[in-house]
Amino acid sequence: MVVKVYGPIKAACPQRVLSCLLEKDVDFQILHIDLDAGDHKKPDFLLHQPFGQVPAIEDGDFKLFESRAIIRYYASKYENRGPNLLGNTLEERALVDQWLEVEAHNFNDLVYNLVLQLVILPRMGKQGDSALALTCQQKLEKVFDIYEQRLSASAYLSGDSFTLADLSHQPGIRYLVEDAGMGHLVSQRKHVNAWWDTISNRPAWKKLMELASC
Amino acid sequence: MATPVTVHGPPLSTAVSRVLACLIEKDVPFQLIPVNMAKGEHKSPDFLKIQPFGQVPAFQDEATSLFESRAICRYICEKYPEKGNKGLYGTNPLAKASIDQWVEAEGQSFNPPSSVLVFQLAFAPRMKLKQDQSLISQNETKLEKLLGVYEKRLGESRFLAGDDFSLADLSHLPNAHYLVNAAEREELFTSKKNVERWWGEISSRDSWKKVVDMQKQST
Repeated sequence: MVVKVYGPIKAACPQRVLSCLLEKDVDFQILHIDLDAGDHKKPDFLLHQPFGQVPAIEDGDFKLFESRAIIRYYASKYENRGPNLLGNTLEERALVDQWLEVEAHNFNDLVYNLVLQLVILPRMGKQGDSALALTCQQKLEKVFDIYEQRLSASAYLSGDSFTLADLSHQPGIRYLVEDAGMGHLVSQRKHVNAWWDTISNRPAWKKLMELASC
Repeated sequence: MATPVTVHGPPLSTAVSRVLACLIEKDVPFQLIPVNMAKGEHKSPDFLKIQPFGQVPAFQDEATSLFESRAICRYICEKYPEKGNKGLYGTNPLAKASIDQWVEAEGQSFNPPSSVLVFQLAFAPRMKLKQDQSLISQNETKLEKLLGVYEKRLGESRFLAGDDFSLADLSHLPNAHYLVNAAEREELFTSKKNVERWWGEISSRDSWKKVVDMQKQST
């Protein structure tokens, strides 16, 4: 059964799901949603995702939205296939969840707003808010300082193995480094830099980047 | 015997109260260690050791130390599956996925505008800070639209993730409680039939009433 993933392959939240499916070797089909054309707000799509956001998945009769819920589901469903993205013990799993929540609540909004102001709005021919971008950048510096501290104690965020916690960061950091000119946030921090180097060179992520560049 | 489960933070904090509600639903005894945020205790070196972002709550269960309220809630449910409300985080993978979906919706879509409104309408006046009317108006509009989606959903099922009360509904309690009781925004919930019914049910659960009591006692 092929998992249908609704969303543009270049958008961060669908990429979070696709990275996970590739890690787990789960077959998928991307059903492209044109955000510029407002496809995500049309009645057809709202049946898949009532908030009008991407991604949504369909796996046979099973439907799900919210990228971090989707990756939790597939990491658990295919726990014994490919890398263990969840952790082995209850405590390890809790740490994975903790850092996944950190990404969702302390990291994501800052990256989203920074990228919106510096990359997305200018691409649409609109003026970005440079003061807001600067504020986001300053706050991100502090967040990355905490990540630096954490990653000096373990190779990955939740411990010694790559998990959903690290995976969840891949799309956002790519945007920062490759599109927003914020690579220094990563490269100026020794352990964050090594971590990004490792997680961005995973075969699954590289495969996704290849698919996204077509 | 000292209870091994400890929560650090003030019960008035929405994130702290989320964890307290979960512990009480699961019938897990705990100790609450107050953190005086007005005095900056959450930024002290000692506190930063257990929560490096300087936020509440922090949580300890024997040797396990955790932060992020929604991660703590999931952990409590996984560690104590047979205690209290056994279905709080679902009893099968599909139920769990649905719950995770709506916990994420709460965290990503409900929490941001409701947090802004709660701060602007309930906390800013008490802290003698000037309210930002444009921010209030923007976030009211967002929340109104969001609750329109909830209205439809709650016409299809009794609770957000299905027919049973779950972590997904629980996760909404703290901010919604303040919107209704401290920010004069009850109408957001009462103007929609299904949302009103849902709010009435979830806010009258014993566990939430106990959390509200703890909040009142802490002032």
